[in-house]
Amino acid sequence: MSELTKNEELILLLIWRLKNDAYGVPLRQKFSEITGKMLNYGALYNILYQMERKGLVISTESKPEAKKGGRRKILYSVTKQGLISLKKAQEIQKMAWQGISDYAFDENSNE
Amino acid sequence: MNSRLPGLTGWILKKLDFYNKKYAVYDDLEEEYCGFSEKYGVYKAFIWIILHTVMILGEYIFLILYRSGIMFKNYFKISYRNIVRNKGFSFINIFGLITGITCFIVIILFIQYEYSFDKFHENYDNIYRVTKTYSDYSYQGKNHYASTMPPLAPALKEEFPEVINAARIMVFPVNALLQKREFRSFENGIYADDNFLKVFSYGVAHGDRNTALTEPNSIMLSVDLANKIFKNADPIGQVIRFRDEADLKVTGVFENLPGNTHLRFDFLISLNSYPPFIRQGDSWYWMDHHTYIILHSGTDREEFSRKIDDLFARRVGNRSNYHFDLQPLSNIHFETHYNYNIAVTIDRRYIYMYTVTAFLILMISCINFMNLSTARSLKRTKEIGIRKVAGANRKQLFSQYLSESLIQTLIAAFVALFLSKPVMFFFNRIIDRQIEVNYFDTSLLFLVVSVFLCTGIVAGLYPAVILSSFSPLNAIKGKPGKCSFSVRNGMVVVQFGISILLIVCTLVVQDQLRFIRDKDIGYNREHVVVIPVRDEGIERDHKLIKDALLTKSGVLNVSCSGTLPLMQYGGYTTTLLNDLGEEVRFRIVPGYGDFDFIDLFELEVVRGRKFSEEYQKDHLGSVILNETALETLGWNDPFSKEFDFSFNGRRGKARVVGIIKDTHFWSMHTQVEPYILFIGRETNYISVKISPFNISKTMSLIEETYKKHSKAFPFDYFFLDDKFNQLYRTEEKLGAIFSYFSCLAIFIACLGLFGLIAFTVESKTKEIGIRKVLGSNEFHIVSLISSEFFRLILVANIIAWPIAFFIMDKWLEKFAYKINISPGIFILSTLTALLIAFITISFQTIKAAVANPVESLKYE
Repeated sequence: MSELTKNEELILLLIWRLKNDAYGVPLRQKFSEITGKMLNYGALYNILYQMERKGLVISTESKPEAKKGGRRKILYSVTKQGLISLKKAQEIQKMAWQGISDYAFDENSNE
Repeated sequence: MNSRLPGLTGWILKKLDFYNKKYAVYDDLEEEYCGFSEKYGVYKAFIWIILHTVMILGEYIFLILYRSGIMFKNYFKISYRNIVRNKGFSFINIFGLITGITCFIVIILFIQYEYSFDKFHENYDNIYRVTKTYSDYSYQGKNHYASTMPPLAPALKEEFPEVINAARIMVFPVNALLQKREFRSFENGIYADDNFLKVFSYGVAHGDRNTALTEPNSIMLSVDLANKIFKNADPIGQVIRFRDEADLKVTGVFENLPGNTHLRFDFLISLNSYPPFIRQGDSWYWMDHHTYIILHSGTDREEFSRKIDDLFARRVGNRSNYHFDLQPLSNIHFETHYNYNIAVTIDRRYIYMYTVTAFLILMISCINFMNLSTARSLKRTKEIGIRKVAGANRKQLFSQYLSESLIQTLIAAFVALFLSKPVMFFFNRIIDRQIEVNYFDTSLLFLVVSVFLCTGIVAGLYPAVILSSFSPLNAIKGKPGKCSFSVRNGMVVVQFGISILLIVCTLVVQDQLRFIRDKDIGYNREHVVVIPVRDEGIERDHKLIKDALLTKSGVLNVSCSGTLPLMQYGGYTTTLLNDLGEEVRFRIVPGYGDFDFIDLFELEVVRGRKFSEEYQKDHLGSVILNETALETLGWNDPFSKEFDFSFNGRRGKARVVGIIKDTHFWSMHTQVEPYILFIGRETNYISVKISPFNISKTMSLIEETYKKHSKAFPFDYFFLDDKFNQLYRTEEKLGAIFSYFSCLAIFIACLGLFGLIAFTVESKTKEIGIRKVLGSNEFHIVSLISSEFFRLILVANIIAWPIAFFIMDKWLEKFAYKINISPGIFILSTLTALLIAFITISFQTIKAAVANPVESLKYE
């Protein structure tokens, strides 16, 4: 299994966090909030498609909602495999950052 | 629900389909947009949505490209496998296309070249040549003249503000001798005035383009000629001996002329060095100059030519039989109806003919491709069926087969591009041009790419439609859904129709050329050597030379004359009285010979006698007419008449002593005109009839005699029959090109037929087996398969005949003397096509016919 890219990792994590409301709008907005980068829907759905193809997420259609003008949302949820990937990403993250203090790269740091 | 997104953005976003989640992007954006506009206002939201739409669109385009890239990779793989699996057919298919595309590229490049003539001049659109129409004097049956009078150019520039500049040139009738120490050669040049290089943008390598031709006795050389004469030395300021008459100073060197300019010269001499020009440069009766003018853009051509008529009337007097006209520079290369035209010309109709031929050949090869691809579909029905069952929709199959044909066309176009250079090399020799093929020329690449796309799509469309339309069930059973046989037959008919059309055209052109060559022209042109007289020494001593030549072995006869057949003056309009006392106004061509003229050219005297030295009067005013002249005048007893004449500066009383048979002094394009032969005073040509044996020895004897009398001029001569053959150069080129193209056409058509018959045979293997088991013989089998194709070819013939007849009838109109298009030609072309087709298919059909039925039936 190939490694997750940074963007994939972030989106996957967001889907997991949003639980039952993981669809396009909040995903895009949260992503921009966290990274400060603009992500357009084209790119977002491209990432989602790639992850769906790898079996990390699955998409389901919600019930028609008034908020969406009576149309269905496409909701994403993380699969088991997705969870394994997230776990692995977390481990890599931890290993890589182990022993480095939170203030290590501050300007007034003495190290 | 109505779209809440503004205008176009909503429409675009609805169309986008990211991974089959059709409205996902749209919905999400709509939701966000609504929230955004509530928060920040409509204006900001609008900008926001536009920004997002653009970004999404970019992403989408990228996605499409990426997807089709993957798809194309697959198509490529499949196509490659198909090409390799059917090596023979792929070869036939691609080879036919290569031939067609190469022909097409070469002809289109040629046409492009023809249209590029003189385009490089800066004022191309505003340069005109002043021409005139003289209704009373015609030369070779034409009364438009490219030449005008010397004072015209300065007068135009002086009187009319529309004229920016005006230049004159004057052309030598023959190449002129240039000498510089050991260098002695006849070179081609023109006289030009100092405005010449201001009107035309020929490049100047050394010297000043504004002043180089101002001084008398200045000469400019082309780079090549300068290198030839001076090797590496600096030519500027050197002196060259010209025609053994004058010493000219080199004042400049100009770049070698490109091939695509209507003028041809290797050196320029200032016009005011030409002695007759100095004497009578202001004469309005001298017509040897060519006048070119630049007008301000927007000047009306018709109106301006009327102004020139007025100017002429004011300066010279009213002449109703004279009209001036302006010929745009862009037309000079394409208009052939001018006399004394020095330009390199080609009839526009020939350009059209070549263009049509190019397209026809390309069409044949496209049809070939279509035919073979659909025929091959018989073999691929199973593949198509499986693909359909596995979920391929029609669109996908369509694009697969289209891209397959595009790949094959791409290979063909690529090879054709590389072949075009060597092919152009041969083509150049036929058509007498120097067209260079530069592979990296953008216009060539553009041409190749567009040919590739057009042929690929045209040739691929039909097979793609047919193949993708098969129903899966039938396809897997091995039965093609629709029967495309009638269309395929139609295509064979078109292919052979075109081939037969070209064959008929070729045969007619060849027939007409043979007719012209073999027609009794009325004079002898065999073994006649003509020495043009250029030097006063020769002219003075012509009697001595003649006597000396007559003593040489191998020399049969010698004549010194002012004109020759093919080297005539034009016809003058004159008025004489007929038997009834009525005035007859007609055009007559004067000829000037000596006493041996009629014998040497073997002109046949039908009434009266030829000139003879026994009659004193013959020197004074005896003339000989041809039959047409006599007929025009309607004289019963021509020998009793005495009449006044005035031609070409000669006037006096004339008496007819003989009538000669009509002779074709010009080409067969024109009617025989009334002709009058005088005993000439001037000698322009010495014609020597030699015996056909030991020509080289005779020639060296003639040269020896010539050299005794002419010190300066090298021995220069031509054979009359060579000159005669040059008359029909254009037609011969056409004939040659047509024969090559009809060969190619029939070749490509046969390639297609070969492939088609192979498939027919293959699909009928079982039928043939069963027939043989039931007792039919080989002959029956062969005729079973081939009779259908022969029927198609016959249909093609019937369609092609009237078209060919119409075209060739039009072409023959150019000739005053022409063949009747005989049915023999049509029958011959049909037989040729049938024979070639028979040879093509016989191998396959006979193989099928003699095959053992056990072989073909053992699997069932």
